Amino acid sequence: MAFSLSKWALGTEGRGQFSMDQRKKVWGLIALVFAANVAMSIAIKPGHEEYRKAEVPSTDYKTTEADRLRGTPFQALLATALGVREVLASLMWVRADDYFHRGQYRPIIQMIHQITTIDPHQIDVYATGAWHMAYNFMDKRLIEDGVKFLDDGCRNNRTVYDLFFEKGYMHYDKTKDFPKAVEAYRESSRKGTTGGDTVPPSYVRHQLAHALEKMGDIDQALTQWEDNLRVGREQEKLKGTSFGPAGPNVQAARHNLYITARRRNERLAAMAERQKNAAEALRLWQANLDLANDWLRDEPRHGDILKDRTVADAQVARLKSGKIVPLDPAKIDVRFTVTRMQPREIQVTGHVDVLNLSRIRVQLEDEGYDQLKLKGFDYKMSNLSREYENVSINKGVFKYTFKLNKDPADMGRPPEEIYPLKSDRYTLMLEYNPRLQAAFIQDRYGWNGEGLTADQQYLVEDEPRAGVVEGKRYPLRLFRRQVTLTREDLTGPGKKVIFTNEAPGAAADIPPSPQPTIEKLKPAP
Amino acid sequence: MNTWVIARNTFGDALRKRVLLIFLLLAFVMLTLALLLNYFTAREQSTIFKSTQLVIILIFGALISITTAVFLIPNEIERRTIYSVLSKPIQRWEFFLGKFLGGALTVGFMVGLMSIALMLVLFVLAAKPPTGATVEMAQNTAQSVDIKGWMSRGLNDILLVLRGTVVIYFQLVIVTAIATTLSLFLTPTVNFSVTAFIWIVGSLQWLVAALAHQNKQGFVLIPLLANGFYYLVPHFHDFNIMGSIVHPEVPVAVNHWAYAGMVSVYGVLYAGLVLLAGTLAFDRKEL
Repeated sequence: MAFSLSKWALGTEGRGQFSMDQRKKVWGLIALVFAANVAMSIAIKPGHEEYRKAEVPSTDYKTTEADRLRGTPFQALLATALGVREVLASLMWVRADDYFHRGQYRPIIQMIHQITTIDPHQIDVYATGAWHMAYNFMDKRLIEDGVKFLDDGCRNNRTVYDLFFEKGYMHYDKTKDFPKAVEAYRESSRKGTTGGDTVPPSYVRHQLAHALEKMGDIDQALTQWEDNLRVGREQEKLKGTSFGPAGPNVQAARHNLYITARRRNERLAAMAERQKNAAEALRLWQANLDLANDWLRDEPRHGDILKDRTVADAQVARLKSGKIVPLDPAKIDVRFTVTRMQPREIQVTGHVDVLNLSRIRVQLEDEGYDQLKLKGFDYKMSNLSREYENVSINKGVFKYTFKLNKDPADMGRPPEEIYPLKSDRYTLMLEYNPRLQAAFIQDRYGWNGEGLTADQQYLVEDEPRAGVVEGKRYPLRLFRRQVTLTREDLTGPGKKVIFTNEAPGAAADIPPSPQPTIEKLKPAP
Repeated sequence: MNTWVIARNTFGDALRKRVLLIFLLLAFVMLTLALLLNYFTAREQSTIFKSTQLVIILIFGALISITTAVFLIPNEIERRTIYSVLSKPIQRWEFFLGKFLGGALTVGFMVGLMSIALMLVLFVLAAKPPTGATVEMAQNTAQSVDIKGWMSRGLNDILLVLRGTVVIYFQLVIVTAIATTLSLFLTPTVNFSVTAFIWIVGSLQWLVAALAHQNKQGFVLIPLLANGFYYLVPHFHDFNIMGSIVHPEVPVAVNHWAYAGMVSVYGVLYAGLVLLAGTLAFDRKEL
């Protein structure tokens, strides 16, 4: 019996309730609805493409579906295909958090990369993951990887401020690369929030101003504080007064604007007196007196400002009486001893005549670390070592011990995993950088080291990192001394003095420096 | 009118089924479990909560939809009630459409309940601004509930979930239509598997497009077949707008509600197509 399409489609008269004619009409209707369906599919496609583009960031987005298929990681294929990217990423994040709470840190790095590959819009995974790398693992080699992870996060989440802010903070607090911190904070200050606000919280703008000051660009820092004050006042009109750092925070902006201007005048006045320019010093102290008087007009009982006025008043009177006190630049001369206490335990002790509670950076790494690390992440983690600390100087002495025989985070990792010590030669660096000092120390040495000096071979004048104060550039001046050590020096048996430029016995009675760095701990995600 | 009466009866019958209520209960338990994530920051909590809950609504909605639809007509035939219904002045197509509408109403009711629960929870969660750890640390000093902000965030979240669940619902309307139509030919167990398979294949439609583009050898038939397959099988992947709901801050160059409207119309059209074919098949079915 031959198959007949029309018979199959239309049936025979008398079977079923539809007549042949009705059946034809239904088929006609089917054809019509199918055509409408195809048309609707075509109309929907561009919108669907836009949703897909948004899922994968524009930088990684490929023009054809085939390219995208090739670019999709295997572990994300099923989730992507079934449209549950976000939930898979969320569930993996819950799992990663569980690892964190159980103290199992090792799987976390791999997991956070997988999560952000699956869903590149998980802002908190980027932020917390980068924090794990730069802070919680306490492996200095991973700091730059934390920053790199944030770079990826910023690229994938360009419209909100969060990750730019995190990157700025990591440069500000961890890498101490203030120009990069400024760049990231500036970008962050131009973005909106995930909650839909067009202006980010005030602490973003405040951190930008602080980073500008740390960078030595005091002119820009002041401009930024003025801007912060203006934006804060506008926000206050819209949102009301809030005392939190995320609120308009007008008082903090006003106070910081005042204090930065006051410090600028004081520090420039000290330089003017050093150059025996009494008139300039008088102008600057008079400016401080005016600053204080301006504030006191609004708040006549403000205790700190009253004290500032008293100081400025006294300085103006002294300078008017023709008495100048030129302070010579302080000479930084670090005398230190490097001792191997036992294999992989290296103690650095020393004397330096600087203000109490200054910090000196003591760093030990493979010779040519910055070049060698370019060989890749795996090479770096298997072969290179880096450790440093900003050690506090107490009454002119400091002491720090590199414990290369221990896991710095007590995570049960073998020390060789953090400090492979596979190179033949290592660089021990001691650096005194005025930009990393507290404000009261900078009052003496300046933002850019204007008030310090050192032997020519150890004084670094860094023009690219110059600061700017009242339109004038001041190269960053810092003390840096490097000593080359061998692997035998670090790993050899027994106690041995590896290097010293101190008088015999000088290193013997140095107490340990107070624990210098308080790691900023992020609350568990 | 007859269609509507049958739909109402079908809806009432479906609500009395324990299996559906068990699915609903399970879904509510999972909704409640998600509240235990409160040790995350507000933003993480919101992201995790929205994404998991929408998937729960989708999966449980699909289970409810298929489980309801595969039994709609076979049960009537098995219990022989269909004969007494069709002996009245009711057309077969009216019966068939009524059954489908009853199933679609049931799915709508269940999805609606789950959505309302999700909206309520999200509204409560919106009391805290959706911030990350940094802001939460910064705001520890100044905590007071900003009622205006809460209402605005809560309303936004409700609208987001509404858009998400509307789109999920119309996806499930297609699933219900397919399962109802296939129930004319297949046993409920086979029908369940086949409908679930079509749902998965429909969600993988972007893969079909990708494979069509991979045709480096230049076979003429491949794009033709791929395109044919592409337009015949429902585009469930077009209903995937979860990213825009979980991460509303990510800009998408689309009018979200217009898109939701378009895919909903597509859902209705596709379901209509399947039902028209089903009507023809049911008309000739030996009972």
